[in-house]
Amino acid sequence: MTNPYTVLGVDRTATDDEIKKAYRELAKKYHPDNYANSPLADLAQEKMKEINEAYDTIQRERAEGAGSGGYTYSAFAEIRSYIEKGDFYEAGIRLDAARQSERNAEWFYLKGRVNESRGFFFEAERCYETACAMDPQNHEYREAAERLRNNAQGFDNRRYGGSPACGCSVCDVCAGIMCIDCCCDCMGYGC
Amino acid sequence: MPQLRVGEHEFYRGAYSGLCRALNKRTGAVSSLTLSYDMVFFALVRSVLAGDKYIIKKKRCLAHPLRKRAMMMRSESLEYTADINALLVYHKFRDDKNDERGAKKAAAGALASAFSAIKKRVRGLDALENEIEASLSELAVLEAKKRPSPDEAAETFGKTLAVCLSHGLTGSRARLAYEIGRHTGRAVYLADAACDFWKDKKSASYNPFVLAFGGEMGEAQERSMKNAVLLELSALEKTLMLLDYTDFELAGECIMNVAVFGIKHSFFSEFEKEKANDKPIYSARG
Repeated sequence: MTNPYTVLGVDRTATDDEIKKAYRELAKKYHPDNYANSPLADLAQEKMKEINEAYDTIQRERAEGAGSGGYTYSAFAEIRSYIEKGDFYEAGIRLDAARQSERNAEWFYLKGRVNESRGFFFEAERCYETACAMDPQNHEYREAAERLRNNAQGFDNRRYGGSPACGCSVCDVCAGIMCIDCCCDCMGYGC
Repeated sequence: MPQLRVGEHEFYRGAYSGLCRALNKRTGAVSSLTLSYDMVFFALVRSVLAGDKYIIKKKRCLAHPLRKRAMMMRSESLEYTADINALLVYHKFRDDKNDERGAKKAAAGALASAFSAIKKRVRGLDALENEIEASLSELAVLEAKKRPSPDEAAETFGKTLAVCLSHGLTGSRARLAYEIGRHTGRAVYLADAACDFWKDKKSASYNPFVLAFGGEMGEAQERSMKNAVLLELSALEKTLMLLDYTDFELAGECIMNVAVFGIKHSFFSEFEKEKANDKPIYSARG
């Protein structure tokens, strides 16, 4: 897991201006134009990508004003970028590889995202709730938990349009229905 | 919407009767006793997915000899559903035989062997049956490990219905079928597990919700179980909306109604019933 501050070579307490300056310098250094005819152009491109991602991560993180501490928040920056790319599979593997001691609020939030993408809503909700409990100030985590709750609530609030045809057991194979149906019909109470 | 209108209701019953007849023909009279509305839903979705046109006629049947009623005539999807029903019912009784005790075990054992014979009439679905076996044995592993994950357990059942619904289809229809089957299976499993919470806790049977909550049940746990089912149904609805219902308007209305309101309603009422059952009528102190 690469720390974006390390990539840019700045301290995590650096000001926004300092970060911008460091980013510009590195970008100038690794700019593709400098490697136009080099056989290592692809490596430079990789490096440039890493720098851009690091800068974006820090920018985003600071814009959201989230987290209880800069570095803790970005500890899973790489995993976040997988999630943003829609590669939940890779993100899931990397999350599972994190040690128990590393599993902070952000870890639970990201785990929730991965679970949600797989349609594992029960686990997703629990993960978001754990993240919120660990970091109650975080908007991102709270929003995710609320979004899921609202989805469920929104579906629940839809008007019910039941009918006898829908009054079936959701559970088991129901041998009785036919007999009941038959009795109702024979007695003239076609239900 | 969303009430099933008279036409839709009759249509749904027509599909029920048609499937009943298909069961009779394909796998014998005994198997028609195992018919459930869940399988009618399956048959309708399969018809739409396969683009399998149906005809409804007024007919008499064995169960309703007194008056003619709507009946969906023979179609490939009805016959396929009848075959799938035999396979699923067999596996259900076989699992019950392993899980239950006493008289229930004996009954399930007898039914399992009866259906083992009935199942033999189903031909050409060996590969599918292997897939069903595989996902149900995944569930058995989770049960044996007492895995406290409702989602993982539900996924195995979701996979079972997914492979059944998508078998023999290709391209985007197969993908849609897989997802519809998966969400339906998952929703039914989760709803079932939530309703059985108290019963399974008492009998110490495998129930991932009981394990996930450490046997605790309160407002938060109830909400969490209900949300899991509601979110699954909401996902099912979104998938069902991607189906093309041109020429299948009545089936479409029925499918959406059952998936969106039918399952939810029966889950909620069953859940409340089970919850009320658990409360003691009176409690003695002393």
